[in-house]
Amino acid sequence: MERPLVRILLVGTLLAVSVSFASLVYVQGQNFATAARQASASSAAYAVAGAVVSAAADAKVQGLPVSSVVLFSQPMAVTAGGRTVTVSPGGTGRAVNSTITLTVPLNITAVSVTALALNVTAYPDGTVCLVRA
Amino acid sequence: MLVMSAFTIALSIVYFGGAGLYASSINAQLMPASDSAASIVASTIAIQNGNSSQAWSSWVPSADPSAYGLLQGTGVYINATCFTVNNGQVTVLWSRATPTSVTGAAGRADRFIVLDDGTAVRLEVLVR
Repeated sequence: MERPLVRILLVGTLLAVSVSFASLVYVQGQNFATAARQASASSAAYAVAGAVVSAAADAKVQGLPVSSVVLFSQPMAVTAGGRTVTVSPGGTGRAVNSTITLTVPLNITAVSVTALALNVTAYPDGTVCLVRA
Repeated sequence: MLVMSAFTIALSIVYFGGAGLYASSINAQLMPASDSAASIVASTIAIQNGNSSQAWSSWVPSADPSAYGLLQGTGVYINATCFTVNNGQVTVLWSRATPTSVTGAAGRADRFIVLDDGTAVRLEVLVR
């Protein structure tokens, strides 16, 4: 009589542990996916900001317009204007995004595009244009 | 019961294996960001000083990440050397660096700028 009861209790406990573990794995998986999208947005935002400042620096030192291209691993929604660049991975509806505000006196022409590649053109006066490549 | 135990063990393997993959994937995505951050720092300094030898001679490197629009807690190391080349002979005019270097894997950017008086500056930036 006792052995079946102990067996039922053990199976029940194991089942409860398995269910809670499965829920934990699911929730952690969701968190991991969000963090990965955030890292992707952050990486892309730094890539765009780096390209903008780098082209602007070259334009200022050389006294000539300078262009470069930024390639993304997936379509990115890029919104920029003034000294601010915001990037969100395509398909996330801008729920996940990363914003970088530059400290140098630049004027990025206002733009909002979704693209796999971005053309960055900087002029010696500090104006920067971003267009879909 | 054996099946349930096997299920739990399999879940554990999936969970910890997934966590390991996740960590390496995030690291792989953030490493290019460190390179871009280093490029932002080097280019910001280049924009501030341009090719003016006067601006560069009075410039003092700052390791404060907020001065470059980076997040607080970001480690920044800057090393700049101004030199001139005469008849194949390299003469270092000055060299400036922030007090502490960054350790471990760091993003890196290098810039070489020719100044208006004929001298040149080599700028090395590490960001972690």
